[in-house]
Amino acid sequence: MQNEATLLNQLKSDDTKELAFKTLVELYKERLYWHIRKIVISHDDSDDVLQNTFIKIFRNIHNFKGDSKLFTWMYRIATNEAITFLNSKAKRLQISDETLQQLTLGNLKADVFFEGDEIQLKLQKAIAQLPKKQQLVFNMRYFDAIKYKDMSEILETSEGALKASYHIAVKKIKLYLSND
Amino acid sequence: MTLKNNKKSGFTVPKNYFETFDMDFISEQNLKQTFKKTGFKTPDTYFEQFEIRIPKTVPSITLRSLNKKTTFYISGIAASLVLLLMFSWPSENRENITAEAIENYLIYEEIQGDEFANFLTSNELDDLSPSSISASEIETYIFENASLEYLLIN
Repeated sequence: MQNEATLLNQLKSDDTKELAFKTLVELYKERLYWHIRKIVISHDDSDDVLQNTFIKIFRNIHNFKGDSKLFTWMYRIATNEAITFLNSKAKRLQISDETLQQLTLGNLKADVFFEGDEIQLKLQKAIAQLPKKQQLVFNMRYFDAIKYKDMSEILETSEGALKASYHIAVKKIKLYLSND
Repeated sequence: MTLKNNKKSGFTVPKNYFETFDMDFISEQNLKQTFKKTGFKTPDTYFEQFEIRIPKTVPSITLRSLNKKTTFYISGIAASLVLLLMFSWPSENRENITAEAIENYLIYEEIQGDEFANFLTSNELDDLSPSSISASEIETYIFENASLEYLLIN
């Protein structure tokens, strides 16, 4: 895998930008997709959000100042895009974010791109009852094992607050699963 | 710090906190053993066929920009609103209200542009000269000013 600094230089040069961008997409498309998918749930919506995320990355790469890692910068864009997408969808349907999430989960069982059993469905329901930010923290830590330091850059929150948030999220999920 | 000192501090922990402390970690591992995957999948060859379709050209759209004179008017109106709110508030509460609180009120109470426009005369509104701001400039502005916390509460 090529050095991040080299890739970044290529991305910022007009001559090499397009080719370097293709490399960037190859490197990160799966990780960003699964991050987005856990937020928006539906595959088609995830595809739209992933497209928009990479377009924003392409157009704004010259603004990346290197204050954080490239991948945390991209994760932050993907997170913001996914949340914005859900907010817009809820507004378009004239329902609250919570109602939208319940509707999406209600459709999950019949979704051809969901192969989970009752246990996985139950886990998604348990995650859905968490506040939005706790959902993000839980998904990023539990499924993707993202380091708190990196998560702190992505979510612009202190490591201590993230650790506490994850701890609380795990407790709530265990409680939900044991009661259900 | 000794246990004795902790007792003196007056702090307490939930019942069985220390007895179950290790169990928290273990049960998280148990949770992970039971729930390893999300259950989501993609269409076959989705990632192999995935490519980014970047629009070649960005159409520019015409918006009304705020010239210096208008910015001055709007700043004046905002300042008037702040003063109005400060002096129309009951005096016993007034001293506790900071300019920041009023600013937050104006931001989060979703006061619409047309409400501000009501404070402008038609001549002043005519002074809003049309000019061109490209879509990419707008996108860059939103991109650089987006905050996750703000998105989560909206």
